[in-house]
Amino acid sequence: MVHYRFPPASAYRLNRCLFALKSDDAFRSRFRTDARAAMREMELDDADAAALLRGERDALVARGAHPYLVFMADLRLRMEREAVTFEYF
Amino acid sequence: MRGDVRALPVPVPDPRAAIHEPLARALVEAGIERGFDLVYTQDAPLDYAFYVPLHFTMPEPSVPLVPLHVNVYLPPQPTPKRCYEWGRALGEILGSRSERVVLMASGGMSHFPGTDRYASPEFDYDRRLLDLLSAGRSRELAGVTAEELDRAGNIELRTWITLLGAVGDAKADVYCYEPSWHHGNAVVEWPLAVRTSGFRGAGAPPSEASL
Repeated sequence: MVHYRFPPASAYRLNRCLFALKSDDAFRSRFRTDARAAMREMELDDADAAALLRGERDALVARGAHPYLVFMADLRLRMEREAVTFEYF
Repeated sequence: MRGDVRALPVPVPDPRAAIHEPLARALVEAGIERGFDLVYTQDAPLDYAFYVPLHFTMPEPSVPLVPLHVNVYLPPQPTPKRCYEWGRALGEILGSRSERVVLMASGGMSHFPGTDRYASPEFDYDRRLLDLLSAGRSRELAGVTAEELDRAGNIELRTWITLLGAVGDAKADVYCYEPSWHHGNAVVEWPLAVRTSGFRGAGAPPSEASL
């Protein structure tokens, strides 16, 4: 596959964290309040946490993150931080 | 049994959707009997893939749902052929029952969320696809490969292909195709009058199928 590949087990915690940012309102709220604490809750390692804090899509995907989850986690965080129109989505 | 509907801030008249549990259970049981290893959950929030189309189509008073998930994003996904075969079985199972049913599939068309291709969907692929559906040649989609769907930004087409198995060779009414800067969007329907063998059975058939 070119775009959406099998996620390696090494990226399980990272993908679980991204899924929670996408779908778990309470976790997303905790992340917005204290991202480092939220990532510790998900047991992310330092490299995953650094890439997520920087919001670096390519770095996250290179570490095994699913591109769709990166996209949706980022979108839902931005929707809460700023006015994002439905058309943008 | 009810399913949570939440997430994107679009108006949702009823935030919780009633589930048609007898039909849902019958589909799981009959599907497994036919060799499809279906799984079910009694605790799955429904996300935008479900409630956005329902926001625009759900009648008042609302009717109960049977949400069917198809894994489109997480490899290894079901093959297009398998989706088509499950859709055909789904149509036959529904046709053997008494409920009056509308089949809806959401997702697609071409887009590449989370990738460098996000701003350049394969609009020509979408248009060729819609031409096939209009011509009643939808079964050809059962033969596309997972790689082709991935390259065309159409991995979500698996939900369409599932529905296509149920509508068979009926010709589609393509109401619109609207490309945006990142996404091909279409509305397609197979009305009652063009329903085909997939829905024939002892009971009342599904009334229509739409995407």
